[in-house]
Amino acid sequence: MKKLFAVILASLLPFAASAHGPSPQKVEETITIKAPPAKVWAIVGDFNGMPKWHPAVKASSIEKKGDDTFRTLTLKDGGIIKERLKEKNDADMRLKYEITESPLPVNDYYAVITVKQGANPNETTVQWMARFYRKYLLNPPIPAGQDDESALNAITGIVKPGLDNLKKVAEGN
Amino acid sequence: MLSRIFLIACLIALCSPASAAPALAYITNQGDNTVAVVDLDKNQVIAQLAVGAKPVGVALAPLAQRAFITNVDGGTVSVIDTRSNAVIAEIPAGQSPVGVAATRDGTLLYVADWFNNRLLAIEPLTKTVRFEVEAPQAPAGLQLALDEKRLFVANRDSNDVTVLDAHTGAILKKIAVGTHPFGLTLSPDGQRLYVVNVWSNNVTVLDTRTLETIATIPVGDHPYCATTNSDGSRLYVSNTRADTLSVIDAKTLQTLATVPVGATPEGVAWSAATNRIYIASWMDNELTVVDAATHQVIAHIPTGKESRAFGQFILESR
Repeated sequence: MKKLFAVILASLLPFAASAHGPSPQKVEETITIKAPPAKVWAIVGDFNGMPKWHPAVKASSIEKKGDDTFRTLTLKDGGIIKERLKEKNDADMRLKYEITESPLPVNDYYAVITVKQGANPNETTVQWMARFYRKYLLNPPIPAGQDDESALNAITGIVKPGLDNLKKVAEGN
Repeated sequence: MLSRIFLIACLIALCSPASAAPALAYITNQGDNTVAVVDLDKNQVIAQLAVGAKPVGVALAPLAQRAFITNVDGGTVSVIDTRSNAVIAEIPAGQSPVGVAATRDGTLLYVADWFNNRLLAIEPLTKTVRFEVEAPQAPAGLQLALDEKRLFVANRDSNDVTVLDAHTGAILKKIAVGTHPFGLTLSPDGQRLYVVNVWSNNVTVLDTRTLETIATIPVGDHPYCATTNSDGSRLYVSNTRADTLSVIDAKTLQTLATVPVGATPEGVAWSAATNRIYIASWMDNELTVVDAATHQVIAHIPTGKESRAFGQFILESR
């Protein structure tokens, strides 16, 4: 029975990986940090540096495949997230990346982190914006835990604590 | 004789700028279930209309003074009277309507029902389905031919465009295009169909008479939608993950400029009244305005949460 389920799941996967529903979801959070933008960008713009500032990330490693850069994040709960760097723009202090593999209940996740000069000198605003689809991509009814709300909660649960801790790290000494 | 007088009166009305109403843009805001109506003379939102759940697509029927909005989560089409800018009806339209096209006289609507892989032809006046046909798989962008005898459907998950008889729904041809075709647009002379391929980062150019591929144009990352100017010399493409607008010479197929615009640009349209390009930015919740002569961004108009405007969303000056 278990094997049958695995076969059904496997047969669904290629379709699930290539399709998504029509309503993209958005998580957008901004934080003000009392530190110069260059200092904040040095921390958050390092594609291999997430363990230094994100409380859920234990380790990070980088792999290059042709022109593409990938990172593998190992979470403190043991989960693995693989991501591809889309763009690192030092002039505009902007990082774009997408998830290629993860246990999160999302599909086609794409995010942009932007660092900007704040309202006052020595003040920085950091914006983290993510676009993604829920996990369940087929015709409704939607199974529990795979709906829009679950996807939004999961990503908000990464973005908010991440920015909060980035502030602590950047404002420390 | 009467009709000739009427025609002349219409021409006079069209040519006198003093009496002309401004061009308007109808922008769907998926995040707050509204449509922003934007006055393109003033670059100002003049109305914010409540529509159904998660609005995406826009089609205009200028002769009927109607705008049609697909609400993907609501399974409906909201009908807007473009004179009063009021929502006057909500029509059932399958389970998950995304792409939409309308005849110029507004008597027939075509709706892509994404999850059900169906194409519905709906009469908005009677709120009845005239016919429905299979559209494998995940039908997205729709485009009527100039003579409204054929309908082109971009099938995102089967990587092709189907050509339908617009009156009967009979499938005339299936044409393989790039990976994940989404937005469609027609050249003003009706001879070319531009198909935007999200995953292969290019645009397929189809000849609408031979139904053969003429060319493939590389564009930016994750392109979504396209439009042309009125003489067809320029093609404009929104690149959702590059946050840019590609400006392409339609003759040489060369990219003339790549303009940074609001983040995650989706719907794109050009207005003859202003010679500007308007791009709905999903991430930045705005309509970005680009001068077609200089390729400079000249305005950012806040429109609402998660602006999409999937379709030809501009009603020209009347």
